[in-house]
Amino acid sequence: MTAFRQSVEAMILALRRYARALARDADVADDLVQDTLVRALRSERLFLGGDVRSWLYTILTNLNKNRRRSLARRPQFMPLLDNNPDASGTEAEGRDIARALSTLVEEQRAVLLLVMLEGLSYREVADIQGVPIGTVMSRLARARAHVKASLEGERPALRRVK
Amino acid sequence: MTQPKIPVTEDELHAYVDNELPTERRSDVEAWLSLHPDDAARVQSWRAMADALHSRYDLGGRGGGAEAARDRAAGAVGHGAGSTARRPPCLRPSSPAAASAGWRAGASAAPSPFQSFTVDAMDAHRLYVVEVRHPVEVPGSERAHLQTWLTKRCGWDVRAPELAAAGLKLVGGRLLPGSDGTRVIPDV
Repeated sequence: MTAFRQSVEAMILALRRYARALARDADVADDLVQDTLVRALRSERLFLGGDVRSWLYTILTNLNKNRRRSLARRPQFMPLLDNNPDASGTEAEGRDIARALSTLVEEQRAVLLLVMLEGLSYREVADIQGVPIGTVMSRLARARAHVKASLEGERPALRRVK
Repeated sequence: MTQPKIPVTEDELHAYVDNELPTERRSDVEAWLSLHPDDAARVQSWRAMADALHSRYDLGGRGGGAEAARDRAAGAVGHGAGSTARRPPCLRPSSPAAASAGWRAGASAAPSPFQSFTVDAMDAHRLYVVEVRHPVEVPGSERAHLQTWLTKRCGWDVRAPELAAAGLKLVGGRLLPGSDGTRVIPDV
């Protein structure tokens, strides 16, 4: 196996984690990872060196953007109940964070996950999203504030004693 | 602790948490945080958020930690292992918290690699984790008996690992056949 293939393969678990958090649907996430891998391996010859990791995150992020764009043209079915089987065995905190993520707009969710979950640098995220670093930082700040508010709003808040 | 000469901005707080801040500014931010509890609380909440993300999405296999760990183990021993040992659909995914610790005492001279043992242990865990009434043959409350019995059956000294410090409790153990003889799987 080539070094390229090995470095792609080494990323599968991380891509899966990112896709699940990004798409919040296990089946959609698996499809995204699958499509990402197919594209990456097919365009091996187009890869001109550099960071395979960033490149794979870029492909997956763009595939998800395209998916959402085509979904937007179709009527949507909204689940009445949160019966995501993945959510079952996890602690309450985990479900809260998933719900908080779902309230974010796409770009902010991607920035938050790439920085906080995948540990990418601001520079790498800026390249992935094709925006300046300043935009990454403001998206991250807004996403964090939003998720924090969402997490705090869902829990019985402690009353502040003045 | 001295007040930093230049006030710390919100961008710098984010950069501090994300390890994007120049090293020379980090101590300024730390000094700032010790004097500004509101900012310190914010930084803390972002760290907690990162922890929550990791505990929700790490090892993001369909079966939670077990499958992801198995994927890794399978990857380590070759490509066949993952596909030949697909789990039967009747098994429900196990939570990472229920991850089993498989171990074999006195196995240092064993011929099979650790990875293939891990795969076997994971398969056994998957098979039994769905059991409500019979998850183990000997419950963890009978630790001494479990060790004596397994030592006798295996022919080597078997001891259940002490993992209480890691927040794990011994559920019990059972005897399983393995490719190179008898194996012992405690469920921790």
